[in-house]
Amino acid sequence: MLCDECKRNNASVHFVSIINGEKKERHLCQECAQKLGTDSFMTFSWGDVFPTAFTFRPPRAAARCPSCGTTLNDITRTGLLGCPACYSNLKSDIMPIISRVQSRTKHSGRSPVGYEAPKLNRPMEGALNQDSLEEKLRAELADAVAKEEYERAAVIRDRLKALARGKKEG
Amino acid sequence: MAGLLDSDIAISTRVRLARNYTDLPFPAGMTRAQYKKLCERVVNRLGSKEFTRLDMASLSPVERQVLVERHLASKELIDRTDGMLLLSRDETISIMVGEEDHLRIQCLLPGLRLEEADNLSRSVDAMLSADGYAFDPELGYLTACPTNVGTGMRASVMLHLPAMVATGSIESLIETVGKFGYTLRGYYGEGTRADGDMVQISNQVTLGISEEEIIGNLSEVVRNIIKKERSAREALLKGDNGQLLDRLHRSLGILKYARRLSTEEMMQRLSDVKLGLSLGLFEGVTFADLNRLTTLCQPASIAAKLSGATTSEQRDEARAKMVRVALKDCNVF
Repeated sequence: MLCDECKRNNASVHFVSIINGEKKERHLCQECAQKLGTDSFMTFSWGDVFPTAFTFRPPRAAARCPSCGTTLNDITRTGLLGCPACYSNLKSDIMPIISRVQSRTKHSGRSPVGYEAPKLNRPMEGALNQDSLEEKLRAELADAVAKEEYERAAVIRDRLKALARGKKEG
Repeated sequence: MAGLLDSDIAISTRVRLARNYTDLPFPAGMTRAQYKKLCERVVNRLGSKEFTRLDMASLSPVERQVLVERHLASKELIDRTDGMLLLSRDETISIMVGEEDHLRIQCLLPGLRLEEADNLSRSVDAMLSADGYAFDPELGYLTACPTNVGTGMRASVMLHLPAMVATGSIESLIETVGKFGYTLRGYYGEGTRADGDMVQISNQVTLGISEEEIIGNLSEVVRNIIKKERSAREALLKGDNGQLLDRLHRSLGILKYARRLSTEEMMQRLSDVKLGLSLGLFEGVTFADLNRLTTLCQPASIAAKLSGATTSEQRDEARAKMVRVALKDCNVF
């Protein structure tokens, strides 16, 4: 069997992985394995072996993470994201990759010591100014009423009341 | 230590955790100042009592390469001029700072000891988490490469599978293993036994699976492989027309008396001697001794021992001598 990379030497380093029934194989000669940084047991990184997993559709390739400036093109080239915020800033592009390489999309392992999960009933109101928050809540209220989701509507109404109270108190 | 029972087949266990801090870009995009800040943060948290700090800048190229041979650091880290490695006194825990991720916490133990390696790496992980890990409740630990996101855990076991390589049953093993989200990686193929019939099995998936599941499933898969390798060994010996026995004995003879040994030849011959030892043909040496010998006789480790510029002939002679000494009491049973 010839090396997938140089198509010249005999392949002696073999990588096989099957995720969700999809089998991926790479067969390299020792020289190419070394060049790709996959020669030692330690540095074996999946992205090095199966780089095609990281391609994006062209129109979005110039999109950029506002936190670190990394573009999707950079990610395709290196197989690496630029900063932790890339995950949220480029979410719509990164998630398909994650589901392709991981097959699942929801963490079910440990959390850092002392980590507190964000409370879902208490959105980060400080992030929006009060007027736009009020506007957003009113729209949500209208939506809930239209869908006859009265419990949700009641919760939103209470939050609007609390906001109004807070405004009055200064 | 029950895990050491299978140490003729399970050579070593590794658990690696990839961790990053929220306030810094991933290492590839870091400034020198940010990298320095990262290093200081880690050193301050760990203290210098239990961990030795190794700065790549203060090590010779050979000394750096030794770290790679011992599986303590990656090529990527040692190539970074300002790279830093923290090493526990007993060398079971190494922390690569600023490799692909801010932290790569690794625990390396001989034999099959996955749970122990998990516990050890977990305790160091807890010490370093106080500065705010990049963690998302949906995606788990955020890593530079999406292939590590979630638990950030890669657990692997290095296995010596000479019989499965020889009989070709390794091919079907790959299929089976892959179905469970595990990846097999190794050097094998026609005429190539450069890595001494060594195969590494690791979990592929890191998201949507808990650490306990990763460890537990891997443990089970490895136990099954060990069983299969044992029966392949028996079958190999049973069906032998004398050729295998000849090769194994010949290899012991060469290792006991050769004056020059290349790394490749040593790896192949040692694989044979280990097989002979596990089949009860030889005695007088332990698997742990042979595994240690393998590491100590890699090119950079030999060069570091000889110190100064050496030719490959000098290294081959030094290697042969070390092997002779190690196998002094190893004989045909």
